Amino acid sequence: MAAPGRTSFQKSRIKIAQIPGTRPSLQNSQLLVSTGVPSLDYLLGGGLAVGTLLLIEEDAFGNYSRVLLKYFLAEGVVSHHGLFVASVDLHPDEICQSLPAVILEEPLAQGDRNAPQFGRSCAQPQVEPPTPVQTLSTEKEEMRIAWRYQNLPKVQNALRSDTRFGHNYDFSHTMEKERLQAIPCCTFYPPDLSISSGSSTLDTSALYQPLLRAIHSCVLDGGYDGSQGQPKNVLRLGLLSLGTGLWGDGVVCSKDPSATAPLTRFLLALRAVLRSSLSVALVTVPAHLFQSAAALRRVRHLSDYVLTLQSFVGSGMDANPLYHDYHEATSTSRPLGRSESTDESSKLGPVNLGWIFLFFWTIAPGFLAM
Amino acid sequence: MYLLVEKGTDGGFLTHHFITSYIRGGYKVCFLALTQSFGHYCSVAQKLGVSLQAARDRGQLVVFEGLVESLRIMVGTASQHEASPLYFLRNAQKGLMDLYLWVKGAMEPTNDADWKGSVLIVDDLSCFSILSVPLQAILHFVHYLRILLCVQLQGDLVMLVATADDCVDEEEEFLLKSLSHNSTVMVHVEGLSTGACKEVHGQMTVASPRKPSNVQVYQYKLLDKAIQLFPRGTSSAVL
Repeated sequence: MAAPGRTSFQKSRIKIAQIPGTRPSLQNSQLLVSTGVPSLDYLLGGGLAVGTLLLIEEDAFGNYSRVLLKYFLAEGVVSHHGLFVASVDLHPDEICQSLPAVILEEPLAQGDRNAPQFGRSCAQPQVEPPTPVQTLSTEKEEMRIAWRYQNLPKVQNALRSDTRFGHNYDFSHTMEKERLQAIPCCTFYPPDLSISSGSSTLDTSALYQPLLRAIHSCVLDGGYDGSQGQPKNVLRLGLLSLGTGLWGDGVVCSKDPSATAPLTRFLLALRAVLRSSLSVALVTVPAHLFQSAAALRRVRHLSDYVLTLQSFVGSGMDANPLYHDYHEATSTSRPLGRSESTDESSKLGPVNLGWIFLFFWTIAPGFLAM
Repeated sequence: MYLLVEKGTDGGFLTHHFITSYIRGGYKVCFLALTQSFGHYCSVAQKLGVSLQAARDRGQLVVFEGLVESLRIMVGTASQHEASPLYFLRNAQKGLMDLYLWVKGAMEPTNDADWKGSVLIVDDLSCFSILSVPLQAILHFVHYLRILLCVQLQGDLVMLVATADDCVDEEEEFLLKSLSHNSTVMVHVEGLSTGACKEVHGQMTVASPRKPSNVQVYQYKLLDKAIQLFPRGTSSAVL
């Protein structure tokens, strides 16, 4: 006879890796992670697929792309993913210290679980005022009628923040230091490096190669490619403002699209790293500084998702009362969902979703105070 | 020589289709996978019923994994003087000669009549122009490949090229024009100009530059394991 509380029928499920903070996609068996902004996840078809690259074309002042990067990293902190932050104009530690605080739901009160459970003859113990962490310890009454429920936990675990997909954040508070310190976080800040001359074997700019090496060693050390047999985890890479002159490449300096060579080669190698490990990358490029549209097109070609941001601040659109409440618009201009195990049916046609207004003021409490 | 052009949309399904049909047909396939990992093609081919790993093991399929090789070069695990098919990543002046020699080495020993013929499939020739290989070098490379495959080995050459909706990249346009001049069949894949639709994923034009009058236009829908082609305007959304 089957043990009480369990049936002998087991559905055979495909083994999908159970990594906190991820969930399988509805259309195919890809693993998705949240970008930190639930509405953006919805636009991307459920989330960002593991092993892909999200390109954000920055707005004129770079504010909102930085905000998106912070959401992305904050989501990684809350889901216990590893982080890698690289930036050349802003110190990565500054970015990490200004991550928004996560808004947690109150755990379910015990009294709420008085759902009709017919056949329950024993009385529930009296409900105390709910505390966040409270396990029912002592009551071990024999259930006479609903004995099949004997071994189930009396109170279902409240929705813990770690296992939920996509959280809300509050920019008026910063993330607690304890949370941040619990996460393996690697940073790359070029002024801290000592650039050793003669070490680059490529005739490309000096900074992308050390960055790639740093990423590669972070992936190998952290075991994100499954090589060391550690429990699987996802690495989130946040690369701020690639393609500016500060990285040593001449993309923004010339009209010739072949000047993007260092950046595109880096992106190709980055794609190789992403596809061979459990990592996700978010790269921002200052698209408004690119002098040739061909250069931008090449950079886009090597990414899996592209998001273009256009800020309304200072662009004259402020005056239009229609846009008064919104801070910016985004448009996605790339076939979505193109990565590791896409099957033919999940490919969408050419997608130019037009203008989608992101409600920054509703999803980011405290954002206006920034 | 088949030229697959994707304009604004993702033409990767054609690559998958060609790989699986050639493997099933018993041809020896050499595949240059430059933009996606081999695992990606394997998983899609598995859905279509062909095992690329098994084909690789029995020698029917030779794959060049561009991503792995480029990472090796860029990170520097490959030593400085080691010759590599992607040497142009180190030194742009070298051109694509090394890659051609690799292909030649892979395709040559097929004079034993195990297979019906040979075919080379290149996924994303525009990857080279994105990596800023000079246009001349790419054209030379294609020319050499064409001679190797179509003339010497009597096989096929399938290349995928990507263009953009708006003609911003002049080099890409030149590349496309020169390639279409030499190709036997051109398959042009683009999205619908009216926007995305659930029933029709795009439009496909099959043309042969040698016979300009024989142009066929279809619209297609991608199903789980097949591509459904139908004449324009007869999709199930309309009928």
